Amino acid sequence: MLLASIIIHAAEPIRQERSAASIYHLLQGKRSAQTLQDAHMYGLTHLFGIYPKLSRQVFDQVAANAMQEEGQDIKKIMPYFNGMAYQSQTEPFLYRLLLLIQLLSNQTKGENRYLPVTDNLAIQQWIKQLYRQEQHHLDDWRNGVYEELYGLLEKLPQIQAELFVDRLTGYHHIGLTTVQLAEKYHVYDTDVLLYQTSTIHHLLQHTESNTAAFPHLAALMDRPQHKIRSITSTALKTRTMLERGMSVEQIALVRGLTENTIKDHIVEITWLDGEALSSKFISDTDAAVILDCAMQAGTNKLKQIHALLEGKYDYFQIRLALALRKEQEVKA
Amino acid sequence: MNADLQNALQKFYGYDGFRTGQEEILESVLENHHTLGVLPTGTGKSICYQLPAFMRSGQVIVVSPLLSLMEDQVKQLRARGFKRVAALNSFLDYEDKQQIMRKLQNYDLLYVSPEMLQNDFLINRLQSLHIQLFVVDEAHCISQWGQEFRTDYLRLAEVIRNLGSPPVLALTGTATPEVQVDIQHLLGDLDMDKHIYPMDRENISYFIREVQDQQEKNETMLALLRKIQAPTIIYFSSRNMAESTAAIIRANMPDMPCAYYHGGMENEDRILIQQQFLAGQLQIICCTSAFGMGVDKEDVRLIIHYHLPSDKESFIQEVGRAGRDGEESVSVVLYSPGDWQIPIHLIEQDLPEQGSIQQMLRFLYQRVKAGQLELPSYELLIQHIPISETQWRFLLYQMEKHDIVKGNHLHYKANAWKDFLDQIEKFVGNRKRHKLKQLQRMKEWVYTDSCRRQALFADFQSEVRPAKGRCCDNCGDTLADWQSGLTNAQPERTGWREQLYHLLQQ
Repeated sequence: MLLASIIIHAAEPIRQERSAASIYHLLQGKRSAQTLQDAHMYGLTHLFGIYPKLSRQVFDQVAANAMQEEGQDIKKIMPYFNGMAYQSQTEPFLYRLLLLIQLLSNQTKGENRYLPVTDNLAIQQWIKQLYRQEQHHLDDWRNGVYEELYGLLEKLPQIQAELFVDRLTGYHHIGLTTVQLAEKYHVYDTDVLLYQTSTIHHLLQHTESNTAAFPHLAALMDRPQHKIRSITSTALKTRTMLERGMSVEQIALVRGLTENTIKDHIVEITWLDGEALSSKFISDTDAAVILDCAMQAGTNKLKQIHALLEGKYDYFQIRLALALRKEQEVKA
Repeated sequence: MNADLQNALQKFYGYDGFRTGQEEILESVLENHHTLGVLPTGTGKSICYQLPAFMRSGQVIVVSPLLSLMEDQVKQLRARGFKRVAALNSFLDYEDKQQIMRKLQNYDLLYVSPEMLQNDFLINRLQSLHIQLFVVDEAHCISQWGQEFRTDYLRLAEVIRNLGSPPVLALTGTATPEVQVDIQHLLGDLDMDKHIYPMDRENISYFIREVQDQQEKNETMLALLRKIQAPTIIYFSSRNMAESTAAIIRANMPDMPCAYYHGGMENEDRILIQQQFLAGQLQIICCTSAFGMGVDKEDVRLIIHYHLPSDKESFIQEVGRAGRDGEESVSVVLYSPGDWQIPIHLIEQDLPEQGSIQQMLRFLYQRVKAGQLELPSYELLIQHIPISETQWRFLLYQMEKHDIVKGNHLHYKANAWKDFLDQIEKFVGNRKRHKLKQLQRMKEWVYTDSCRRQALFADFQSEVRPAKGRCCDNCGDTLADWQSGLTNAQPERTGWREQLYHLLQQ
């Protein structure tokens, strides 16, 4: 079972220090400072938000079983994921593609009465807009989407290509539901969705790295300036205020938040942006001391580091130092 | 014949002629009469209010209890190019609701769920429009189940008055004369033009197979499916049974594409299954009563009832989904003696027990005494009192009627609360008796020795037409020589390459 493999894979680095719930939040893509930090700290950014609809109940059940029979499944090859990069545009891209294929397939047969495969109005508007611009080039689009998809699906394991294409709806042909796909290919419902996500990440990755080769698929992606950064918007606000020269206390006061929350924001931003912001709160040497201690003790546990350094640094500084680690390693 | 109507029908739907009753109802509506239309399932009730929305200025408001049907109709109308249509219901998130409400004048046809009409802001906005027609769809809900499930329907009379009493069109597929009177009365004693059309269908025949247990039921069902290889709907009273039986059918008949459908599925999946059935990719649907409304598939040949519904009205509606193209079709009920437990249980579940009502009142009284006048949420209540959400909604409505609840607050008056308890006891007792009587009628139909066609429709119409082909088992007909005359010729494609090519290159 793929979901089980993924949970074991994520549990490996995380397990001693964080609860199972943190893996759940990671897969589900909870946009909290803690979850984003976990993803970075434990090298699991590729799994961030790959299963937004995962229910806690299903997770707990699969996790409990997976932990028991550990070791057997994990050797399986992990499908490609890049959650941190694509998590926010996986669904829009998928549904634009599904609706576009439905449109192209029907249009070429002269059929314009059909129920759109998605209810999402934003997606419908988006495709409508595309249609208005490109209505005289629909044959090019049909051929282009076909060629590009064919080439990229070829590179995937067959199961992923089958699951993807069987889901497509077109002229007088309706795609299969998750349950039907699971039944047809003898996989779990949860895994159908995970493979689907992996396929979309694969399409996005290839398209993004070579837009010239995949112009039609590239057109379905969000433009860079529209990309939602993985920093929470509340943390972004804190950053802007810090950049204007306000202090942590002032920001907390103005925004009606606690100072600890503001500090959470700073740690979160440090994970993604490095020392740009953190240098105001911790010096390079202090950070090095903390990291050194963490490395020697082989732990990321704040309490332990705090004790080892005899309370010389507060928790906020320790967290900042840990968030800077990647940065430091790259420099070294 | 009305030439304007004919032209409009041709223009908006591409149809050449009206089906039974549509034209008469439309004429009455266009003359701004209050109208009651009882049209059998599958005759296209929706044309009776859609056409006025297309033809005339002013808004048409349609109250419908069936959220998924509402969504389907909006989608289908949009697919036809009619964009000035929207649905307001609890499926929508807050933003979308607000957006629609702010721009009501942009819609000629507006579907609304009855609970939305409790929203003062919406009523306010509606008052500023010119409403040409107020439609009460599935109008039997006001009588048959209304007092429990669609308590909001009972408030429609008040809503209609608040909207300045526009012309009303009440539509239903099934209504006994008694229910018709009820509809008229509960909508505010309107003076209505009545257009009642017979519900019996000449091309459907009725069979009942008695079995001893579930295993025999499954075997009988499979044998029937193997024999009648044609589009089939199988009705169940539980979601689980629909799912598990679909799996049994797939395991036993891998060549017969079969899926399940029920209200617990995601909207997207429900639409896919429905569309697969329409496109002929699926031959058999195992479903609950959630399936069928608005599914206009002409060539359904067989309706199997794995479980019976708890009243004849529902049964007639479900069977009515067969043979809309006029070809001979069949209803088969698989019945085992233990089956009656299920509907009895459902009836019990829908109505609160006296003990729970007393418990609830005591709980509320404690809160009042402690100065907590605000109405508790269902989530809070359920921690103290064992009642279902349906039961809570029912009680809430009743408490409002008795002035125990006003707005979101409790009002305590010893006498009012005591009266309430007495009356509610009587009321619940009556409802239970009524429902059990309905069930009893369904049961009598199963056990009858006389013509099933006569027995099924006699309550609803004075004369029942003879069958076109086979009539029923009691009249000596059999299914031994029945042939659907249909073949399922779906090309089987293998592999994603071929499939992708077919979708985009053929």
